[in-house]
Amino acid sequence: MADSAMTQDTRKLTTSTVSTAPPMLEVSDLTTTLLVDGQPQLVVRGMNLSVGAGEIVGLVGESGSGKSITARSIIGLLPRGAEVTGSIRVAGVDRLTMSRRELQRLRAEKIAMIFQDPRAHIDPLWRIEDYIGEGLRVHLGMSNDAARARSRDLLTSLGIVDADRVLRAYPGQLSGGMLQRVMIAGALSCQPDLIIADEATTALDVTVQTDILAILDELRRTQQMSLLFITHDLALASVICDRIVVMYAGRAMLIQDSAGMFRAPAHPYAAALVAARPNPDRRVERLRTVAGRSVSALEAPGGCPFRPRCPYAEPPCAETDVPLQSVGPGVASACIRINDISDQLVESASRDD
Amino acid sequence: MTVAAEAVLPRARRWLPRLPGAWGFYIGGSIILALVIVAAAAPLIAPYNPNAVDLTHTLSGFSSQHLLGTDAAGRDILSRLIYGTRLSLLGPLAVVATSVIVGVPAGLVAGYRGGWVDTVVSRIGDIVFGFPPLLLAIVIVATFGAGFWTATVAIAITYIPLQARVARGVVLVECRNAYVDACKMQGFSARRTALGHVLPNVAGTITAQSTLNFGYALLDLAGLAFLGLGVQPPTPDWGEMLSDGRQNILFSVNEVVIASIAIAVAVIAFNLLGDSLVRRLSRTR
Amino acid sequence: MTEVTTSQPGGAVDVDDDYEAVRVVGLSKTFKVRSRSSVQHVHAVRDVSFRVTRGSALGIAGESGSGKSTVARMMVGLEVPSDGEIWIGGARLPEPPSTSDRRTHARRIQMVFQDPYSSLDPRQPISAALDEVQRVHFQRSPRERRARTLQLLDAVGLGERYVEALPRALSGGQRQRLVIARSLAAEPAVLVLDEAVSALDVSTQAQILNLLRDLQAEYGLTYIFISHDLAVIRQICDDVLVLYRGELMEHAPAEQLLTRPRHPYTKLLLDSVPRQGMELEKRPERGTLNDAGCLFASRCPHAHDRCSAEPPEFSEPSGGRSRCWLAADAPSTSPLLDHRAAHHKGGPDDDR
Repeated sequence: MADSAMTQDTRKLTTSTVSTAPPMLEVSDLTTTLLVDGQPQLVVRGMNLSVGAGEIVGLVGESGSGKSITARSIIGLLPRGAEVTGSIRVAGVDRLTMSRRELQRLRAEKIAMIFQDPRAHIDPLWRIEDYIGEGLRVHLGMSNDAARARSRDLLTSLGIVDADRVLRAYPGQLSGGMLQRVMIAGALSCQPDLIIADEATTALDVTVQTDILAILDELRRTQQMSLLFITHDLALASVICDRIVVMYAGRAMLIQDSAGMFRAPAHPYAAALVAARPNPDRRVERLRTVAGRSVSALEAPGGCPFRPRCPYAEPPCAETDVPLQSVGPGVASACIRINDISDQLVESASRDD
Repeated sequence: MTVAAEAVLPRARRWLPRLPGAWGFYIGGSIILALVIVAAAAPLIAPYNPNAVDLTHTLSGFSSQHLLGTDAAGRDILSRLIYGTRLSLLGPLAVVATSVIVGVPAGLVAGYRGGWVDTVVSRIGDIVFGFPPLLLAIVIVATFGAGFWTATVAIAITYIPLQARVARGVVLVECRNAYVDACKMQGFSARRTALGHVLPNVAGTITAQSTLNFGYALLDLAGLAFLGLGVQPPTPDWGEMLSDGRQNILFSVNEVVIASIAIAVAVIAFNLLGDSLVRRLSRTR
Repeated sequence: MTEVTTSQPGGAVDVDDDYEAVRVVGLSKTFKVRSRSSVQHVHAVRDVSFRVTRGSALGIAGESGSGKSTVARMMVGLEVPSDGEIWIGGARLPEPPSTSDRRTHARRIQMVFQDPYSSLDPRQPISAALDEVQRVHFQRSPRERRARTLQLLDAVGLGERYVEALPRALSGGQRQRLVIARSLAAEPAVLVLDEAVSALDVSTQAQILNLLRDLQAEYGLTYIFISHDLAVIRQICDDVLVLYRGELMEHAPAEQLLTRPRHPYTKLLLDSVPRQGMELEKRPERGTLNDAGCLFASRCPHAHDRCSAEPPEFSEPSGGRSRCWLAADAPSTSPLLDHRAAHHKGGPDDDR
């Protein structure tokens, strides 16, 4: 596993280019194994990422990439029998050695998570005011009135016009978009430093999605909030993320800034993702695809996991365990051939513009 | 399972549930299997004829001659226990089989069709379900006379709506899947869709639930026999032994205790088996 | 109701029945929702009409509550319309359809569903699924059916090694291929694809979209492609229809609608397609929606009094039709004119 650990250089480059403060979240060499049907299954392998204060980092991967499990490993929401090794530091403190109580405090004060389907994550039998207020009363010790007032403020700041009516309502009476705002309000209620959003907009209408993105962006600007934005949609991530981590088969393959990734992707997989996305402005004869399908960490072959599908693969790609290496200012790539093929990648990304 | 392993699958596989690995399945299953063997091999195992009356040795305790003692008529308790296994297993089997044969199609139709058909079937089921089972059984037995079959039919009637309800529930959930819509859209007949597609997918859950009913049916039948409304003496049956032994309980507790233990063991075995099946088969694909 | 321009690849107008694969007139669907105290009428679809020429592809775009899925279900006979007519290949589906009506209808039009995981019977091997469809629709010998099964699997890119496999062994993309193969097994002329690629990864989605294009060319299929994703619609569709809360807002050739939208809602949808560097502005949650006049008025940045009072009629600005007073009043100088230019200037006019 030594090969996939980050070198000092790489760590410098994978951390925030936005702020010089110590990173809010620092994950290195994260490996997670889940118990499936009684058998241990590798899901995340040697994962590295970091999020600085006031930074939005995207975690992009397709099915099987391990992005959701990475998020859950960070916050500690894994099913029984799961094993996590590596290092997860939240505001400098190691999460993996925390006691149960410390972990609870962490989730109350430092990290909050927003999920994909708000209806599945909000108790349908409680009123909204109780849902948001619970955290305020339990963790911040607020009185009922104070909690109500703060809940109302939160909802209003998220663009909900008749906050009082919403507070008194039950989840079943509200739309999906409204509920997602409510879930964000709940996540924000205890003023966390870091929010992890796991496919938070995937189940929403596209117009509502833009609103939610705007809200998240504003939170970053006004409250220096850090955000780990998880999605399978690279274009979506590029809207608000400063840097994007592209995951494949349980590990990071590329860390690059949004604009750079679309202009000159520094990894063949990222280039394939960019090329495969249809564009509403133009119709193409044929969308550029890569044969085969995404694999999980378990199914990944030795060497570079993307090799079987990569149009630029060469024999050495099967031999080395591909570590993230810096290939330029603020860019880290797991492709060992990137220096040779970067021109071709740029050309293929721009050809369909 | 890899594609290679699943590459060749006989048609029958569609109907067989996946075998669970839980210990409940093995322990419960072994006990039941043992009981079935005992019932089948009764003439070979039992030391005495269960109906052989011997008035010189009534209500005797454990002895080398009669391992479990004798009852008020001098009949060997062990032999009666062994022979009693037959009816004590047959009864619940008949009850569950009847409730499945009648109840599952009713539930399937109600769940698949919905609308007024569902309303009618469900309301009828609710009415029957509303009767206290023992009361209904007493009424039926009083009308048609006591005995193994009347008792079994009476209990079976009370289990039919339960089974129908379970079936209806799982069918409703299964019909939410798009493949059911796809079948309808293709113009498949209701029979093809419901029997060929929906039923195989819910059979596992229904089977598992039914296994649990074995235990409850056994208890209900034993209760009826205890009241004198089920299996009549001198036919050996665990419930009948409870009834018979109760009268002389002050002189010898053997019969009552032995019969109770037998009933308890069987019910526990059915519950273990049924529970493990439910847990294993109710989990989705 | 003004006469509708038909859609045809190449943009020519043709009202000849021979070329009409699909004709929908005044389609409506109202659901009665019973709650404890009252019965509410939900107008899922209101008076939608369109035609699709054989061999072309119509996209139906909209968000949740637009009624697009209900339209799809009505077209294949899974829902009975409250009003209106549906003609597929010159034949009309009886209402309510009997099983044999549905069977006949399935030879003309088929649907590919959104969820690849629930649209296949998990206990049915792949070959059996394709075989069954053929058995119901055709009189063929087992050998012929088998040959056709292999042919279909090949056409959708599933290799022979999957023939006896269960759906469990397939990935999401492979399942969708199988669902497409199953739809084609009945040899329909029209295929309705209800969010057929929405649940797939980006790279798989691209593969399936390419496959759909190939199949359309090879079999001369007509597509009704339903999606919330305008980028995907652009790849497949010749014409696009935009629905909002059950009503048709705009209907125009794809290239025109997606670059020069004539309806504010279309523009809103286009502006919401995620792209790197897009502008984000916070808008308040929409609150209550109006039912009088134009259904979109309460969210529309260009709305004026007339919009909330009278439901707009259709106007036909240059080649498409748009249900908007703005487009009607100033057909050639709508402020929405060049979506791309407005986008680069930096956002729409003052918001409400």
